[in-house]
Amino acid sequence: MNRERFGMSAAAILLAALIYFVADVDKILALLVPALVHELGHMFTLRLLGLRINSFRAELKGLCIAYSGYTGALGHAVAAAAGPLWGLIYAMAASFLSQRLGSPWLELSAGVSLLLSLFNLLPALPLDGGRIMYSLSSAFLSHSSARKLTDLSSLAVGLILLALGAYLMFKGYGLAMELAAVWLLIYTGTEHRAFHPREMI
Amino acid sequence: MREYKIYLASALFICLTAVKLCFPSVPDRLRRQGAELLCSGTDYGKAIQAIGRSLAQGQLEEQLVQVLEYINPPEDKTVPAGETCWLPFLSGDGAASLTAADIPASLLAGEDALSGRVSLDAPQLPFDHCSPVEGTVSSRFGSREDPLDSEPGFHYGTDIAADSGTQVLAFASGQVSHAGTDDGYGNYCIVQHSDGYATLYAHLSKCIVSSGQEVEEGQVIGCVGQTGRATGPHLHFELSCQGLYLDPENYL
Repeated sequence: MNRERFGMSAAAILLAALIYFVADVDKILALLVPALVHELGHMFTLRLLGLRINSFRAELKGLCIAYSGYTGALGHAVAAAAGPLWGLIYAMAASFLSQRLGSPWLELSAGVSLLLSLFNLLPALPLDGGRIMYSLSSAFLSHSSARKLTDLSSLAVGLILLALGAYLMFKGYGLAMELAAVWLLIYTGTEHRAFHPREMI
Repeated sequence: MREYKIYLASALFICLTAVKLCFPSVPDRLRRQGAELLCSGTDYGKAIQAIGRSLAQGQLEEQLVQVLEYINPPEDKTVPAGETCWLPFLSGDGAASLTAADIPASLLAGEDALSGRVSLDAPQLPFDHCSPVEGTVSSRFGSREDPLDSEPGFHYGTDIAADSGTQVLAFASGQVSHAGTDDGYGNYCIVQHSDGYATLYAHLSKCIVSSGQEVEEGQVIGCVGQTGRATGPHLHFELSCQGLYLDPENYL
């Protein structure tokens, strides 16, 4: 797969088309805006750290930023944390703004942003939480040990989510959580073969 | 970006937009089926909105506890079958914890449709009331074919057809508990009356009352419109007692 500087994979285009067809523009924006804030958080922090952004792509698995350059383990961790951090800030801001303006859309996007940020903080690759864990532990462990630790954590989180999702499904709350868990496990599994240390979603 | 992707994306966009505009029921139906598959009736949208709202109010913890309690109610509470906290139905302040004993006996007798949410009884209302709008009943309370996608469904209220802009009056005096916008109901508001009764007014072109406001019987609260899922201008009017739907036509 050839990586372009800025673009979308064909699969992502099809998925986006499906979502556009089926969902409300309102709801799509309530998801898109927090996602963009999240990614911008990553990108600004990467630039601040003096790193170079090689590409920004929309793939089936999510929005991916590939970067290069040198910075310490802490730098990588901070860049990874910036996404969820900006997401949390957005959530608070949107919530307060919605109180003043009475906008249900802002409330929705605030809730989405909060949940997106918290989900991303789970210590599982390829989520930001997993990257933070990998970066921080690689400061005092060897890279392969850090990797093994993070892999273990990813598997544990994936299995817990799977169990939780199954529980919700049987209780009658639908597939949503279960699908998220499956996505995570598949992604973690495939990432194992091709780990890009300089890439984050 | 590779050229073929631009063509692909553009072609998809144009075709899908055309379908969305000419056959709006198709994406609507797909959305509902998808939502049913993914969420099984739980309104995740409202739940997420409630979480978002609770951030500014500093009540995130309470809100999350409410979510957890809803999923796993503690022993002494029961959530009525079919009720969820996050649908804009007449569930009051959301933390529904009714048992059958709370509902007046006369309302439980009689035909019971859809897991006890409905009663065909027509008890005497303990307050004065008036007709909420001048018009003709276009769709009655009860089982019916959904007008937008021709599937069998249940109509929880009465539709009264009237010209756009016709004044909508408060059925009886009480306090506005909700005023907002919803995909299905459009612009709507809910008024709580005495003794656990509540009325809902939907598809309004505009709602001129806000949450917390006290209203008198016959007070203008909005205008007829066709916001939300509506095939023409009408008022969708619901009457309930502590979450149990009654046939409003008995009181018009």
